Amino acid sequence: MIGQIGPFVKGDQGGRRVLWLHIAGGLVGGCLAGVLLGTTGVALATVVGSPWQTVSALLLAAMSLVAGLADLGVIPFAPMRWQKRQTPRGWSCALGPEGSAFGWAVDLSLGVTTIVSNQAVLVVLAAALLSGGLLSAVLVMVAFGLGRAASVAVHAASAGDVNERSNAVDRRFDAYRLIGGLGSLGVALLFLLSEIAR
Amino acid sequence: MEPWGLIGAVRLFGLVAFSGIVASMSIASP
Repeated sequence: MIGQIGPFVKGDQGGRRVLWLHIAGGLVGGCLAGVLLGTTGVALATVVGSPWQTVSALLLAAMSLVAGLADLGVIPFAPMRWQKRQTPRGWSCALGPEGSAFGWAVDLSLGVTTIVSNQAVLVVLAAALLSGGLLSAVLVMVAFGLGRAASVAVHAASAGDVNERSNAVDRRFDAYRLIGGLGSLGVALLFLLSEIAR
Repeated sequence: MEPWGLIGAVRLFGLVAFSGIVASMSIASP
């Protein structure tokens, strides 16, 4: 994505406006995903009733454990590997630099419509679904959408060659997966311990 | 989950922070 947005930012095809539209897309996509997952979660909580608090916390702990072990390479199972789709490059022709920058960010912020290499994303989606509240689901997914879009925007706007910058980010993939894996295990521990303490 | 209270606040803060960190790292491809 850095390689796609970068030339727009550094050329004369939208400049900084492209960056802000990309970040706005992250916000909109995050809100949309949060409302969808949160509404589904509230419906589930209503159906299940009072056991939902414990069931949802333990489910999230279990999913975080699986995602963490998958990212750390301990288990070969990768639940988020089913999606192979990427954001369409053709949007830059159909929608122009500004429209595509916005659309790509919305697409990426949904978390499930594009390929995901990091299993920790499963924890984010599960957290929004199982939070049992619309506000908490929106907050979690907005953090995801904004984090993803802002990260791309910062790298695309920084000095130097865009492709080199993109390659430098990709070289950190293994380190990022390690951090994500350990973080997922941390989430599993947090929910397990807090459920015992409650 | 518990929406409010200290445990709920700690959980929500942890999840929002984790979400933002995972998102910023998920732009890297293998």
